[in-house]
Amino acid sequence: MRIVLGFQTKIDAEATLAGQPLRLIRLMVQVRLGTPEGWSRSRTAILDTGNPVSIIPHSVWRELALPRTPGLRRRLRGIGASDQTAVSGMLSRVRILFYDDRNVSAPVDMRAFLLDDDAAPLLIGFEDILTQTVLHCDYASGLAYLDL
Amino acid sequence: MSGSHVPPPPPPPKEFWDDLDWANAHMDEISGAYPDQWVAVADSRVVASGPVLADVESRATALTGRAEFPVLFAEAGIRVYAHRPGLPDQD
Repeated sequence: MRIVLGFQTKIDAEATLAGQPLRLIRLMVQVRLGTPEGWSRSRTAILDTGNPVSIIPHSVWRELALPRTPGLRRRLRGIGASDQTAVSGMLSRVRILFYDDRNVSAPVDMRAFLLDDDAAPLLIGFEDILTQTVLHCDYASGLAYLDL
Repeated sequence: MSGSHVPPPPPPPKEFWDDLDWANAHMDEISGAYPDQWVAVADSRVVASGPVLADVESRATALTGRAEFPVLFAEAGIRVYAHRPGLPDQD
């Protein structure tokens, strides 16, 4: 199943003013997550190949069907973030499906960190997704997709 | 683990994709006006915003009457997210 992805392109205003134009590009994908009743509403996620594990904000995971056993709790941080500014989350398992305006994938089980708050967007990381799909990304031609 | 015994719903209607395209095309302005907030987009405009996604969705649902609309995190500047192994666990 081929799921078409989208590009989100912003311009870094400060860099542009400094004479060094810089684009801030994100690869976006639409997903639904498994809930006790079925599937969540449509969610927009960032497909982040630099993120080892997916990250799910609190408002998203609180409605999901989750294993009853508590998962590993870890602190998460990005480049330059201190321990004080790190966000925290619990590792769990969720069921996810991907879709575009025409196709819907089969469900995929994946591990993800469930954040304590909504301070970060929904991120699709490498483990359990990019380990078993093929990612095609061609920004110049405006074409990106996942083959699941 | 989940209710995935229920068949997946079909993709959202065309208006959803139109609003998603609009949001992605206008994310410069959106992130400038609503930095690091969640924004709900319907009918090619931001209809709700705030730091808590669930609150934004509730307000947008009440305002639009729509079941589905794009909700995006309006990142300000360059943000990098990463899980860095080896950090101490929290209690």
